[in-house]
Amino acid sequence: MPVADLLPELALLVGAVVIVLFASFSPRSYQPVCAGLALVAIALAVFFTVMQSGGAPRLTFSGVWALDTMAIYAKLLMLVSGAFAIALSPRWMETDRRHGEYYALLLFSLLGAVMMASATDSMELIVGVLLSSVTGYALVAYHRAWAPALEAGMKYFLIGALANALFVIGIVLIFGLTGATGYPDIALELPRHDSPLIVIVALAFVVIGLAFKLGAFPAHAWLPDVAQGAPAPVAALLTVVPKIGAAIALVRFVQLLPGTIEWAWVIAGISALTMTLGNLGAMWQNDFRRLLGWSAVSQSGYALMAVAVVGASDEAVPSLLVFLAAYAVANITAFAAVVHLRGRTALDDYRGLARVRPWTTIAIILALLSFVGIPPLAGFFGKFLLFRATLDGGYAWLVVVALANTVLSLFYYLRVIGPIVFDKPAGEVSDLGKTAAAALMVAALLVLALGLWAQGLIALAVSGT
Amino acid sequence: MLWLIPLLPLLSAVLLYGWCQGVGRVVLAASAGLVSLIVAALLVAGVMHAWSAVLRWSETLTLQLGLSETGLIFAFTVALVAIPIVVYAAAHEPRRGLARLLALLTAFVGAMQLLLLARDLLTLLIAWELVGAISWALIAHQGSDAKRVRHANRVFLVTRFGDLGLYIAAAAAFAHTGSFAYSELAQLDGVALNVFVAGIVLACASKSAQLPFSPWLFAAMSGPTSASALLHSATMVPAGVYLVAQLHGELDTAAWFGPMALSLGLSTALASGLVALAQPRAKHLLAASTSAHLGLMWVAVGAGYPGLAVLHFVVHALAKAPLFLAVGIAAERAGSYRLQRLRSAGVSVGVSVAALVAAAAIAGVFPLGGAWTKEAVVTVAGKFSIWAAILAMLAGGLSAAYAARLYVSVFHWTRGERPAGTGLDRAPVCGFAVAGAATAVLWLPASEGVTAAWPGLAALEFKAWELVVSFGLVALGLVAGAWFARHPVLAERSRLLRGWLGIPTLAQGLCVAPMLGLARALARFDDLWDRVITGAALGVRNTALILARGDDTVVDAGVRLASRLTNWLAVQGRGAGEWLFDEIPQGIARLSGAASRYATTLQTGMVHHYYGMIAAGFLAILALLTLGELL
Amino acid sequence: MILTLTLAVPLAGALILAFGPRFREQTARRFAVATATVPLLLLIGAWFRFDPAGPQFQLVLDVPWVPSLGMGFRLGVDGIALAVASMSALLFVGAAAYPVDTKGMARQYYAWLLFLEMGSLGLFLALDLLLFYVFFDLSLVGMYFLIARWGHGRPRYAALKFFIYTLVGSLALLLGILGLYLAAEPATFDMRALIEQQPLAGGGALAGLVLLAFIIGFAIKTPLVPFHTWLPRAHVDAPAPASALLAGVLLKMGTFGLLRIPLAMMRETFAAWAPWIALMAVLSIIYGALVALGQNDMKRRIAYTSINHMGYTVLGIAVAGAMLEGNETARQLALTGATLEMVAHGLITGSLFLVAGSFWQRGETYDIDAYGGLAAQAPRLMLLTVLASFASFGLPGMAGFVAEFHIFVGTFAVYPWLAAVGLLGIVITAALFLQMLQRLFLGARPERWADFGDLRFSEYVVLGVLVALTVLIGVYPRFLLDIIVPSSRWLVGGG
Repeated sequence: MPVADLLPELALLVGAVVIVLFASFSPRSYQPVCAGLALVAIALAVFFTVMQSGGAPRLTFSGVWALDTMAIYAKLLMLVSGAFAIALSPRWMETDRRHGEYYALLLFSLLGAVMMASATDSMELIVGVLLSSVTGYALVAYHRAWAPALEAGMKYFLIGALANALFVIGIVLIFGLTGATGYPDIALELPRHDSPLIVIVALAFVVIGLAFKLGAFPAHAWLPDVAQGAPAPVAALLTVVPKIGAAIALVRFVQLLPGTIEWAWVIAGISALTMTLGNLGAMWQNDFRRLLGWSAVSQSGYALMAVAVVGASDEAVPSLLVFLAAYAVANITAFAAVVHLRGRTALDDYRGLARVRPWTTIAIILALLSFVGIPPLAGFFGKFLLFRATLDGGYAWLVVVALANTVLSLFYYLRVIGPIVFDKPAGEVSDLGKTAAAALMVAALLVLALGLWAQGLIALAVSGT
Repeated sequence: MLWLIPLLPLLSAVLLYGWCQGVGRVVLAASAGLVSLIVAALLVAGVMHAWSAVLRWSETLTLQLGLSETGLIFAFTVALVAIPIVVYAAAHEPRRGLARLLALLTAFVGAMQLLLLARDLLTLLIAWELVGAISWALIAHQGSDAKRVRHANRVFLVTRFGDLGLYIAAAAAFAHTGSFAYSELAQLDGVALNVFVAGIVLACASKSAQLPFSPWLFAAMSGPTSASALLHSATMVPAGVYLVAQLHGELDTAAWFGPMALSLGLSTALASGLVALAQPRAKHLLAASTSAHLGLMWVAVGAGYPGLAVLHFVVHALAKAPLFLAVGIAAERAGSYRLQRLRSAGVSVGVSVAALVAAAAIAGVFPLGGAWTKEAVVTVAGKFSIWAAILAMLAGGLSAAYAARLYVSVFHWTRGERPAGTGLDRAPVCGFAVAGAATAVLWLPASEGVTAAWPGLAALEFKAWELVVSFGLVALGLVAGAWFARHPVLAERSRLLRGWLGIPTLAQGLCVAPMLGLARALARFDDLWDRVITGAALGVRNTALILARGDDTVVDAGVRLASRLTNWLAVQGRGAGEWLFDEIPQGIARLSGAASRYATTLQTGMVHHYYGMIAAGFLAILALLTLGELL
Repeated sequence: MILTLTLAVPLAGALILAFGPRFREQTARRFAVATATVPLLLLIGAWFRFDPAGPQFQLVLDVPWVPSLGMGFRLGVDGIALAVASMSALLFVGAAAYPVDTKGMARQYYAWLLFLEMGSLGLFLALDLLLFYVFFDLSLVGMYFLIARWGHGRPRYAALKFFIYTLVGSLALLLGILGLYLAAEPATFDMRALIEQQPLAGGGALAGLVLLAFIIGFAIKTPLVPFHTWLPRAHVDAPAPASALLAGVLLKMGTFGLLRIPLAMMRETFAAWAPWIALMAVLSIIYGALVALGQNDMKRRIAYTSINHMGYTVLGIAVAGAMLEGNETARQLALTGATLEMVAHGLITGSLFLVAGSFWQRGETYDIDAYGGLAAQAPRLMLLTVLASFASFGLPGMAGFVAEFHIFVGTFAVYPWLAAVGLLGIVITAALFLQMLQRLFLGARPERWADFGDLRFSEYVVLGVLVALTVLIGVYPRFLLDIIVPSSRWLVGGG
């Protein structure tokens, strides 16, 4: 049992436990310390992850645990995103009595996502999915007193319950078919099986389960509600981290399937549907957070393009990773701006922000243009690689759909930018102080930097795979 | 060095316009006249030192200047004719904008010099269009009167349309010979040659106001008198004849050129002779007479005697310019150009005599030079065919008629006081008259040697019967003209003739109006097209709008959708006139309507709907996979 | 190096204006003009360093940016790029110097202007497909903010339409770039390499599709009929200097891209499609001219003449690529003419839009019929407008004539009929400009313009310089042709 290979996860786990203990035995005034603890835990996790990187891709922990570029890259991505979420939280949460435990929950949810990313065993995957889901429900509804939050949490939970149930059924079916939980064995067993119908049913279940975590059709409905109702830092976390984990998990899973199954078409179809739905939904939103939620849906649609061509193009995985990275920084920037502005959410409240908060405005504009994929921002390279891989994989039509969607999305992003920049200020703007601002600035800077320094971003993703 | 000749006037025009706004008439007259004088002097120098000039744009495009005999004669004539005209302009034209007018006249001379010195089609084309543009500025000189400007535009557009011929000719020449130089044109043959000749003929016919382009000369009458005088006698209009004379050698290799030019010239001469006779206004009469005489020059070229055309051009210039000036003087007094009104005006004796000489020259009365050249034209036409000769004689008779009509109605000696004109009044006109009278030497046997040596004009001997008939017709014409002068009503009865055989109306109806109409229609269509595209975008947008609304609450989304859709369709229906472009956005609308109906049910905010959706998605995936399996 | 500075200076200037000291209106303007002048001087310097007899691309800078994609920060010029870029730089100086109502946000206005300059010049200097695309999009962003913030009428609608419509174009372009990139062996964005290896040569349907993507992309940007409807709206609502730049610089991106990418990198496919492109161009020529004739709005009228002129440019390019060999001289003439037309149109239409701006500043309307009889009131304005208009319909002695003559002569040797039809355009444009001049300056003057002021000094200087340059090119284009001709000859494969 090479425990050393689990150090990052352990760091998160231990950190969470420590925080729970500390939070429950320390006076309320000390609660913010937990944020520090959480950051330390993440820092450690990052450190260990970096240590792991560089080695040849391998399975460890009796084959349930992958240590390859995909896993490491995704881990780093999720950890950093988590760090941002935590950095954004303290002032936001300070009014809350149970301030401390909140960070523990964050770490747990992070842990769950991380597990999803590196699981090469169906049971492992279930644990990851459930862990991240369960913590997610709690986090979304953390403001118990606030109705929208409760409603969002409720929806999240109800949809999650069904999706996860189906997911588990799917896994169980596969187990029943192959008698194996480890991916290598499954990959060996599945093709041998002559009647594919059950495989198909199982696959459908699993896809739906992961679609839920991805926020992709048909289980995307929770995303806008969560983005709007959940505490903004949580929204930042939940629109990014589980997506990454799920995307990687899906990549790993589809690679198991025998060539006879037309899974690629399914994924492509879901991708096209998801991005279109997401963009159409976002187009006329008058609520900025909800709009971001919808755009998050459409972004998962783009991400799925890469999954669809996993088999057909060896650039699929790197492009997916780069895209996810670009998406993560842009999305966190956008939500960080929301947090920084004390979670103001109606578009009308953003009128004329440029005059009073130029820097925040610049951050928002950078994030949105990065979503559109205007070079040289990070988002451009993400999309560019996606398109390249998809064309390479022979799904030109999907690329055309994506391009059309890009035009759609530009429209509603400009609907945000327009009022912010050109209108008269709507009134006084209060913000959430230094830490949030700092996080925001760093994130915004990353949007630009990762674009200008795309080489590094891509090189990391390419190495090994 | 040769560049000086065109550039000097052009540049000094800029100076005149820039710095001589305030100065007195005399100074203006002197400076403008001096410029032309220098130009003439430079020409002499050029001849003596055999100047030539080349300006290289790129290795494929070069501008070349050179002196050809034909070019020289024209160039001298232009320079010398210009001097009295600018003096007259300085003396008579209204003070306001006088500097600009003189500047333009000078520039006009410069551009014409460039045209005459050009040794390749590119340079020629440049000068050709410049002349047109300057004529526009001259005619639009009194800009406060919108009608004049409209006329200026018409002149420019008609002549520019002709210029297209020159563009085509140049391109054809280049495509075939790889160069624009006159010297290379000899290589042309086959289709290229025909295209080339056709282009040149089009360009020259429009510039020299041959049928069917003649009417633009009437429009050109809106310009100041001095401008008309210059434009008719020396610059612009004769350019067409110059070119056909200059390139006669190349043009004639196309078998159809000669007959074409001849018949074009004859028909123009006859038609515009009649038109001139019927004009109630002096200037219009002169304008028509110009195209008539240029017609005679075309006849000469067509018959293969370009030199004769050149000679007739000189004589005509010396006669036409003073007539314009004299008419201008009379009109100054009468305040109108109508012949009846002018009759009462009366002019000083000197002017009257000068006008007599000039009119006689136009009429082709023995022993003036005009008569000689006209008879020569008749003779060469006779070499082509006897009918041509007869038609030419008829044309001569007509010109005699309108010349007589003009003289008798305007300048004829009448009782009553004669105003004593100033020296500036008489000087230019009389100068011309003297020069015109001098051309009589052409009749002297001594001059035979000269004419024989004249470029492109072999020795001619007139046939006796031709002379007799022709002179008879002239005499007849004179009488008729005088009679018409007494009974203008009869002369002006035919509206068809007064309105240039209805050609302007025709042009208006057949090309101008349709083009403007088309333009407006297309402009409307363009907005429509814009609306179609916006409509397409709108379709998607509405889908999303409804989706978003439904996302908040499903209640009455359907209703709102329906109303929104119908409303939007209504807007589109109102906006788009043609059903075709109505269909596109409407189709998108229906489509988006259906899509949004579906989409609305997705975001109801009710969990059982979400569950339903997931189930549906599951089934969809299942179906797709099994399908893939079966295939 | 010199080229890098050309881009770095405006960018730095933009940043300083945006985040630097709080300049006042006048200071900001002077600073902007000064900053905009630097690239112009640098490019003139490049002009002297450029050796017409040398290799096609000179002053090359090649720094790897994203080597794993084969993308690099590659800059370099050939004669064509140099000519167009210099013209653009000059136009930017003029636009910065031209007085405009900055609505109390001078710093931002000039910052965006300089940012736009960086983007536009970068596009002309780029030797890397992806870099080209980067600048292509950046210029969109810059123009979007310029129109939406400082425009009049319905600026935000116009800007939105402009951004979205042209983004469609640039996405089509991206698709084409990807196609070309994936076909190249080894995959690279280096333009020189791509021109060298001509990927997709004989690629059949795929090549056709890629070319189609490029054509659509550039046809929207240029714009060619029927992809042009974003243009009038954007022009009418944009502030005068912005629309001068839009017409003078941004439209060139379409034509420049057309000759830089499909013409150079897909010669075989391009040759196969050339007749259709030429047909499209002629359609734009005639259609643009006629629709312009039907407009009563000064700016719309000028905008549509842009479509007409861009039609000539595209026609020249199409002719240049019409065949793989044969007719080199004529095709070289056509391409040279196309380049000249880009420069000429930039100067001429640029000044025409500035003139329109002067009218707006005085009369707050673009309706031609609202004016009249201003000849006596504003002789300078009239003089320059007349000159610019005459230049625009290709009067000899002005740049437009030289360009259109080149194009026409070149075209006639390849597509005589198209040439003849296209030629009609110059009569229609003449008609529409004469009509406009007549209605603006001549005839009776409405009372309301009793105190209509003549050009102010700054306007006079800017317009004067632009027009003077137009005349210079018209009389002695050699200094331009010397650097353009070798490049275009190289492009048409004339050795």
